[in-house]
Amino acid sequence: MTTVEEIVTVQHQTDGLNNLWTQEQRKAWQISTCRVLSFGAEKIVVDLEKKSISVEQFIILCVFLKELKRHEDPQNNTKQDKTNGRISTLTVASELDAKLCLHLNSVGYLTLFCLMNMDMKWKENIPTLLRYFPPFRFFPITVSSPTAKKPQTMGRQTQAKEALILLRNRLCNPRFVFAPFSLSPDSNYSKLKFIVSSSVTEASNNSALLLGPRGCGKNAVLELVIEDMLKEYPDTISVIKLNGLLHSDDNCALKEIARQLCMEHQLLFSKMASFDDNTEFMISMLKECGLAHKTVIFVLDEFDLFAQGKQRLLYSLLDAMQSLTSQAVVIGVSCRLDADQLLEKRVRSRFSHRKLLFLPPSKEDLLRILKHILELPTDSSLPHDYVAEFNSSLLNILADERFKQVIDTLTNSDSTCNHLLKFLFSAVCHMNVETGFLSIDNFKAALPSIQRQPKLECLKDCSILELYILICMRRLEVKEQESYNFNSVMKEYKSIHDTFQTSDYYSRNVCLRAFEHLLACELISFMDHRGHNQSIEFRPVKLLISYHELYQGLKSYRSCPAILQKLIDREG
Amino acid sequence: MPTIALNDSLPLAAGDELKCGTAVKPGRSAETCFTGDATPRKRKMRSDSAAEDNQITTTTPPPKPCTPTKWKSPRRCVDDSPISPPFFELSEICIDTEQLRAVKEALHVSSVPSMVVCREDEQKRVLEFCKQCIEQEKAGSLYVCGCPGTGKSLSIERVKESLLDWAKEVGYQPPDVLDVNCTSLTNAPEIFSKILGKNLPQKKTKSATSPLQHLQSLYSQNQQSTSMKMTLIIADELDYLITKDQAVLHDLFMLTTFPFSRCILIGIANAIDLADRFLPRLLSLNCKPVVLTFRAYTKDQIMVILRQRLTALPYNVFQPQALELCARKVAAASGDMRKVLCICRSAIEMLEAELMPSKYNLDLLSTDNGYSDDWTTPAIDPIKQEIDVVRIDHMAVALSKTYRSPIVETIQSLPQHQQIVLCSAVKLFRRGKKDTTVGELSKSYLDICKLTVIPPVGIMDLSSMCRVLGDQGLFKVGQAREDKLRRVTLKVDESDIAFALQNSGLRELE
Repeated sequence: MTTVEEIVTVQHQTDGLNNLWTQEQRKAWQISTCRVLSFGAEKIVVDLEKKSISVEQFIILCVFLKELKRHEDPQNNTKQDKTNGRISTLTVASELDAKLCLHLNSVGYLTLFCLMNMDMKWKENIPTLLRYFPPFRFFPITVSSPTAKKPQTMGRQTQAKEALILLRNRLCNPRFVFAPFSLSPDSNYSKLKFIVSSSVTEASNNSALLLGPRGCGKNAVLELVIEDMLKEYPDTISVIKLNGLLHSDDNCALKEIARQLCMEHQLLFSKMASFDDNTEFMISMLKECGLAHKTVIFVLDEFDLFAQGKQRLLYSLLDAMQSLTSQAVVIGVSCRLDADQLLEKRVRSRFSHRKLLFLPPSKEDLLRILKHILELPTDSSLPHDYVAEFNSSLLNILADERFKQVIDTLTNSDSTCNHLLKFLFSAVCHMNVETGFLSIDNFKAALPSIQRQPKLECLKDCSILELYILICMRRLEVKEQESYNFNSVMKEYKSIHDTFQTSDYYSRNVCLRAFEHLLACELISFMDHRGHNQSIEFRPVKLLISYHELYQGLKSYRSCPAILQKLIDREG
Repeated sequence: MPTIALNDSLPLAAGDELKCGTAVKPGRSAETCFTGDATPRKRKMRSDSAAEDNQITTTTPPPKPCTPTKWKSPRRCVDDSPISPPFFELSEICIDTEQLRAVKEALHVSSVPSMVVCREDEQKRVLEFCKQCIEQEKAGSLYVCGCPGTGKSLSIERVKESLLDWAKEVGYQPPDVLDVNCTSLTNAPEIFSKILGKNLPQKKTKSATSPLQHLQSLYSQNQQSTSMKMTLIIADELDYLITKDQAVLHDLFMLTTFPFSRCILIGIANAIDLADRFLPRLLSLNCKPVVLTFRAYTKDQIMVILRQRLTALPYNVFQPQALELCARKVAAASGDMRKVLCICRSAIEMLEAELMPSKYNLDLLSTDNGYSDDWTTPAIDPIKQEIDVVRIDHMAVALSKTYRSPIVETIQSLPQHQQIVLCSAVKLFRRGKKDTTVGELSKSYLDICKLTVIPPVGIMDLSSMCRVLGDQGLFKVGQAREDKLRRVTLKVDESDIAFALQNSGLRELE
């Protein structure tokens, strides 16, 4: 709630920006018109008026927002040009969107708040989006009508706000989140650091694979290690980063390596250089760096994508590792567990077979992380008594059985770190600023916003009559009636009324209105797109909600009539 | 004195490093001589706290002065920080870790052994072949095949050197050598322009004829080629030259059949039957290349090679049984020498890690103390330890680390619902199906949930879980317009899943 309250709605002039788009793009754009409510350096608030939006459209939206941002700060021009160049490819093929998003990531950090109506198609796309948008966090926020700001009288409230900011900062800082892992000697952090540092100090080549499901902190830990190494041995380490989504093509990857090497060593990069030239350049640079005792760290993100085709790049990289002169580390990051099996025989032989497995945190680790993140530090600017009180109440929560249940339901479907962080962020945002403490209700409230079942939420907003209609349709389906329309549903409704002698019976017109509402909610839809000229009553329809969901929805409905419960029980 | 101390602590500029680096280069080979200054292992382990270290430089005792000549390698300088405790310099533990490091360096893949053992026969055959060709001034082709890591490229490299020596000795004109790794060629026919460039370095290729045609005409005319030197072409990873119609590979071998051809072609690749499969026409012309196979190393050969690498060092770090275990395991699996070396190194690292805990605890201690006074206290007495050796258990762990697949471990750590999804997939496929859809999977999943009284998740979460599993390579999830219609195939072995989940309470698999 608090996050929305802070947002000031500002209408933005979008007209001038429309010129940036070519005709095709504008077409795609017009499918989903949206209103930019406000945007600043940190966040952009967008109102999606149109109900459904496809992934492509969303990405176009992101690029659009990026454009907006560019008008804000003109310093990023060079990088932005690339994004610009890619827009045209975007609308053609949806596979390319991944590449585009990656560009967005590398260009800048963008927090996007989408205020939208409840919509299922959109939600279904979110997992896909999350895969491509690691920095993006999706927090469904329920918008309340803006309340008048209460005068700030208490110090407690400001303290709480400060604490809130601190906690949110921590949650967005991977360095902080993964810090407790770095201390123990068996952690991946220490192992990885040992590999890299031994390569730096012993002038040897090394290679390693970081494996594990998405969101387990492979990249975060790697970043930590690299950051530490850069601090420890300044001027002796250069890092080359490649991503399989962008550079899976050998030619393009080598070009990128050459470019980054040139950047590191202040050399002039020639765009015209051929594959051959670039390979030669890379190998001689490696030699040169080896002579100067500089370690080159190659980070290959999405390693499995490099293992396609002839694997020339991997071969030439790993073959360079076999020579005495070079001094480099190749680190592959992949979520494919069999990534090393994808390699060709000779490439695999040159690879060092070091695999670090990143697993989601265990139950004990999870509690440790929770404590580590949520406990306020005693040496901060916050008053001591507040911190003590906050921490003791937190400990109570952590020990609570109910809290453990919440965490269990969360981790039962997805136990990765990222998921947990998302959950915590949402929970922290629910914190009551007036009392200033986290409560167990905050966590409970955050859970449905992470594990959302939009259809169930839709059901909650339905009227009793609409539920009747849904159940009628369900009964028709159980009767194996292949195709049915509004009229057959009405017949079924009538028969229910007759057999059970229900007290309420609505007229056909009212039912039709309810039926239309269901169509609009996309709980039901037409069977086909033919017969547009027919009126709604005669077009065949189908249910879009499964029996299980309907059952659950009815169970959780506030005042569900007993007869409906009985009917749904009977259908099962 | 202070200037020297300063000298030690300053990070070297890039230029200095370059100079030092070239000076030190020979020292990096297998026979590296280690100088007396043992860098305390301790420094390295404390490395993650370097930033804090710098803040307390003033309070620490000045480092023991050491003559600048002692610093053989600039890396040492990088390694060492201004506050290396003087009383550590010659303690036993340091020498120990230093020795380990020397062994590790000797066992690194990139350190080229002084001589290639166990491949004498093969080397002799290649050398004889080349000598014959040079003596008779006639072309020839040789195809060297064998599994990766069996010393092909290394042996050929040696042969090349000894051939040049021999030619000089006997008085033949030494041949031109063209060493190509075919992976680095942009397109396959480029190899001809490389050969041509070697043959006629001064001439510019005419644009009218392709390099191949030029070479062909060169080798078929008598008067031009008599004045030419022999060319030794070593083409590594030959199979990269395979094109759709195999023309390049074919033409390359055909070059050696021209009447006045002057090239000795040595092709190296993994496939044992490359020549038979891709060059049937050569076979019919009866000018098939001589094939030389490098067999995978046997257990005894691996032992010999390892010993040969280790003899350069005056001390022994391995239990003989440990080495034998490694040799036997690898010889049974692939006979890949690179793998052997890698495993041995990781076994040494295991030992190193074992020697480390004392230091690690210390590190923790000092983090707690905020690095205030631990350098002045005698708490960090070097623990006098027997020089440990790599035992069989170290080796066993290293072997299992290399060969083990992470799949079981991952399945065990999957969240409960994803495990159930895997179970339901196994259940579905038990009935003899090859693949299924997410929708069907969800039905099976709901059944299991009902059995185990676990509240199921919605279909959307289920399909996103399928995607997560697909990302990890446990499932293969196809593309479909609707999520429910996506095709799902299991990519791991059923028995793996059953093994991983045997203790997790999901017993309904049985």
